[in-house]
Amino acid sequence: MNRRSVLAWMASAIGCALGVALAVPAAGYLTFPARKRTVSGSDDPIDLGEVGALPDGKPVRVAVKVARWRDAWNALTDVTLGAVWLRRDGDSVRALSTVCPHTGCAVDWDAPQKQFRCPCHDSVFDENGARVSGPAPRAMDALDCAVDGGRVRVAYRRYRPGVRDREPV
Amino acid sequence: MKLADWLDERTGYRSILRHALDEPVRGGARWSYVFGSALVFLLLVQAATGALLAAFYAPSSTDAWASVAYVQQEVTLGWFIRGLHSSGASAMMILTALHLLQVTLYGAYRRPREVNWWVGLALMALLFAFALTGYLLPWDQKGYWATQVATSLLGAMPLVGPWCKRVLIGGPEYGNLTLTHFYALHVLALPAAAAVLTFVHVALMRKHGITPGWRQSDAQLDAAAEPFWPRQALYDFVAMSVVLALMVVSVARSHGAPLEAPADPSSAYDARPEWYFLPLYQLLKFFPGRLEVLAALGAPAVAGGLLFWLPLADRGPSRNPAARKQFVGIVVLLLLGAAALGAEASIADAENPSYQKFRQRADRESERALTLARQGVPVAGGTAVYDNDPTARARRLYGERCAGCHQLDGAGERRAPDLDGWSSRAWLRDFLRDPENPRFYGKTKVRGMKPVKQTGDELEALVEFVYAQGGDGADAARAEKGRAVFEAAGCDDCHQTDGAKGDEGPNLGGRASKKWLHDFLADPSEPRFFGDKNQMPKFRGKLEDADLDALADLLRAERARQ
Repeated sequence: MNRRSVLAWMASAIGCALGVALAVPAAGYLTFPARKRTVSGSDDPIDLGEVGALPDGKPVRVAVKVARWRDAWNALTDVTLGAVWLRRDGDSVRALSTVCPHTGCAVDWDAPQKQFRCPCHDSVFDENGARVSGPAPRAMDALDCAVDGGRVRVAYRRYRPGVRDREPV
Repeated sequence: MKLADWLDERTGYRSILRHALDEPVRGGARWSYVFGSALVFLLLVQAATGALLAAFYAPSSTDAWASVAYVQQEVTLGWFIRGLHSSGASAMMILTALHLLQVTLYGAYRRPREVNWWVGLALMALLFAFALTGYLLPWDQKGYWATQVATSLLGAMPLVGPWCKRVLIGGPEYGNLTLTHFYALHVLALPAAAAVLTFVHVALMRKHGITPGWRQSDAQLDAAAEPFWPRQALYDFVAMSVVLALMVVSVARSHGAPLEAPADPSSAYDARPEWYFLPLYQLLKFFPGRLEVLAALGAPAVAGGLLFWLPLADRGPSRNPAARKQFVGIVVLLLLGAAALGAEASIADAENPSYQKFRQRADRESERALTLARQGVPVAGGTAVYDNDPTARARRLYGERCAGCHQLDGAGERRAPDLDGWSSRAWLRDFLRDPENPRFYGKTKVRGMKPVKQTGDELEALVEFVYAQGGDGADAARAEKGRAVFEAAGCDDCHQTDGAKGDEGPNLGGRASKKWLHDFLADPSEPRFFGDKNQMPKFRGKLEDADLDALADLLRAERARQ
């Protein structure tokens, strides 16, 4: 090796080292949200109101509000996380997430057809949330729902869209 | 190799690279040429760390401080990235001074390089603008108050001052628009200007070539010429590494840039600018009243004007600094003057005990705010972080819910027992001797208890027995003696101590413990508390458990008083 190529090798090495020295912490910093929960709240079931207020045999869309919520640097109160379709049949209540399992649009209730329909890509589900047609890979996501002292409580969860089997996000 | 050929055929990148790297350096590579390259490197570091910070920052008066606190404490290496950005600004100031000095010494501003000198001066002005706008963004006490000084000076400019200030800060006062304006300047307008000017600066440097030393003849310089790559590049990279290493060490030692308490317009804050503005700050002390504006805007204008004029004046035949003493002297004097003023300001502060005391207070406040921010900052933002402090929250709740009847620390009505020192030994002693005194239950329906006749040791033992119900801090032996007095005196005719049953008087079991207070505040009309005699509102359903606990802690602090 001549003198010039030794110098060139050294310059390249230091130049690369400088790049790496900056890139490594930058990567650690930027991927922080992949390692830590940046939004969070309690996983407890959320009160969605009186069971008596729900009509019999007809799905109703109810907003899900959580009392306390952490969003990155903020501590928030009364935050709307999403919505669920609640359906009462006699004494029992069932809850379906409004989030379409296809790409996450909000599923609507088509009252005349008695079907759930996603307005984005026309996925259709029957009144129990089972998949009828369209691109959705699975049925609408059922959420744990209980009636306690006359009040409806739902464990609100989000599931990964676009996959056949349900996995929590 | 194939891919490289394919790419070269379509982009011609090899000739661009060759053009960039084979720049001839007349007289050969030198260590004194590294400053410019190091500055370009720092500019890139600032752009990169700035982009990273922007990914986690919210420029609003409610969110700015909280988001920076989040970067500083929660985000992986956030403190390091932010520290690099801050120390990068300082490093740029130092390297700019060195670059200026080197260029002056070599006479590099002289014909035909005048325009490039002026472009360099413009870049230097941009550097100060970057510092000034960036400083405010964390919306902490220091940034807020230091920038207030700067914008007040702008507003004090004759004629156009008030209008300019209003446009810059987005209204008559600091607020959201001040941050969005400063943010837009800091991350969009100034970087765009800096990129263009840096490009022109480097292009003009390439056009005229680097200014070689003054000792050799043209023939010698040409003979010793070598391309930029690899030797000068190696020197430059080594310089960059040294700069970066110094920055990393300084950031690691200080654990990043300080973040003071959130901006509080109601506080008294002894504002100091960042060190590179200290000379100007010190200068203002010499110019009282209206002359201050003159100094603040005049001094930089005079210094800038002198530097601008330099290449027009220095037209002699020789580049040898010895032959251009007056011109080199101007620049050296300017830099020394700035350094002297800055040092004077620092020394004055270091020797000022009241300023030092203020600094300690500000540091404690910052630590407290950052600790509270770990619980998340309420949406009201900034100083609302103090609401996370249970005593602050409890005092607010006390003001809202309790002060209508109870007095504490001189605040509140006196329709129900005073809470100063509530259930402390002194309070219990006074209470036992005179339960229906207006200071205790005299103004309420909770009446019928006879004053305790015991005195001396017996009274003290009884006090200790009641005090011990609250848990910690009691003298067990004396409390045990007190139980005997309690039973002998017939207190147990009316008061149970199992913490469950009701009787004529309140059940004393667990009295003044945190749990007892929580339950009592939730519903004082329970049989084990005041039962039918209760007049105090129930707070179950009105206050959350955390709030009840906060109030319980507030009262427990009174209990602990001597």
